[in-house]
Amino acid sequence: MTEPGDHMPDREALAAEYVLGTLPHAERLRAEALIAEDAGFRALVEGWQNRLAPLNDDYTEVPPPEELLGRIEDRLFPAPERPHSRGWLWGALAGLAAVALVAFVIPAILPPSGPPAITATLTGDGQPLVIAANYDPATSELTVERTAGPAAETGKDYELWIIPAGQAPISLGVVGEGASVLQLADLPAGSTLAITLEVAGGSPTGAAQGPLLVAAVIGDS
Amino acid sequence: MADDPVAELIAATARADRAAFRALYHAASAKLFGTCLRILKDRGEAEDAVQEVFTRVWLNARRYDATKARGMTWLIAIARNHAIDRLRARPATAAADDTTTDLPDRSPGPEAQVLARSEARRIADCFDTLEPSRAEAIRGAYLGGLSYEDLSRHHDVPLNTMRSWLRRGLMKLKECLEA
Repeated sequence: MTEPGDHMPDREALAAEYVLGTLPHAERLRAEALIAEDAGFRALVEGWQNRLAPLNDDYTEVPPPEELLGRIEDRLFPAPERPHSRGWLWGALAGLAAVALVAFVIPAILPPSGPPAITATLTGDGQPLVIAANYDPATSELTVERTAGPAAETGKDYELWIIPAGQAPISLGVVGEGASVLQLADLPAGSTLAITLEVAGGSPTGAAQGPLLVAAVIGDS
Repeated sequence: MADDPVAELIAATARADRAAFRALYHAASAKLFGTCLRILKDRGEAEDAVQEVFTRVWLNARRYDATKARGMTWLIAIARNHAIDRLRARPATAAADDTTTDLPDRSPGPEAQVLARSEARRIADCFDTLEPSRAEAIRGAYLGGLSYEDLSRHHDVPLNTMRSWLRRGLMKLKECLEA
């Protein structure tokens, strides 16, 4: 047992075996814990993933059943169901509205034709956080950006919600650093944009779970 | 990322762009379903795995670093890791029967495809420097998700012998690829 491969350092061997996939379940779980907490080990794993990636050519494409995308989207972006499922976010907004809801509709940078852009500033009572939102109906793009206040603490994310008038909140995803641009078919007057603090990656249930931080109601232009 | 449209779609998905996520699904789902199916050998379970993989992609897209891996390589790694975790979590008896179905045959079919690209040619050349049975075991493990137990049973060698064969094979492969 003195062939050269026996001298492969244990961490390197474990990374290679993890990528190869041969480890028993308990050892895989240990390797995954190491990947999460140890950047050096993670780099070894990434090295082996790239090294063996040419073998991926051997995986043949097999179209999944047509309805699979719908199942995935239903799970990630659950549609609002019944009015009573609106949950606590409405109550929180009602309290916030009395003190601190601010909304602007500014016919910014008028395009030659078409509806004007909508600009809203999301603020909250006693909240250092300020989020600027800009919606361009011509391109259906909503741009949001943190303009004041801290980034979300480690392990948390700011999650953006749209609440169409009288309906349940719908997640628009988490707001990262810098400007986030997302597609939104419509931002009608009377709807609310809100930010809650959620676990990293956003609320796993599709309904807001963390505290409401800032919001703005879209007014009439 | 100029020549990696999948990487661009992952980056847009990281900005919570649902249209990009859908485009990413259309670009990659057949490859990822094929990957999960080959490892799990069960359509229903492969469908569940792909659903879980795309959920992870949506939630973890911000962790993707285009300087470290091509987009498709990153996606396939997520799919393989998840499918193999599922496979290893199965009760031990369930895995025993179908292991031979993914043992690579010696026909040149897949290799011919692999040779089509230069990166792939290098790894194929390096595989040729290994003892054939070890190269076969490494390929079978990677592509079909075979465990050390499966391999030691098929090659009729003790598990620890199989493990040191494969470790040596992998080390030799690395030396060859870096030469």
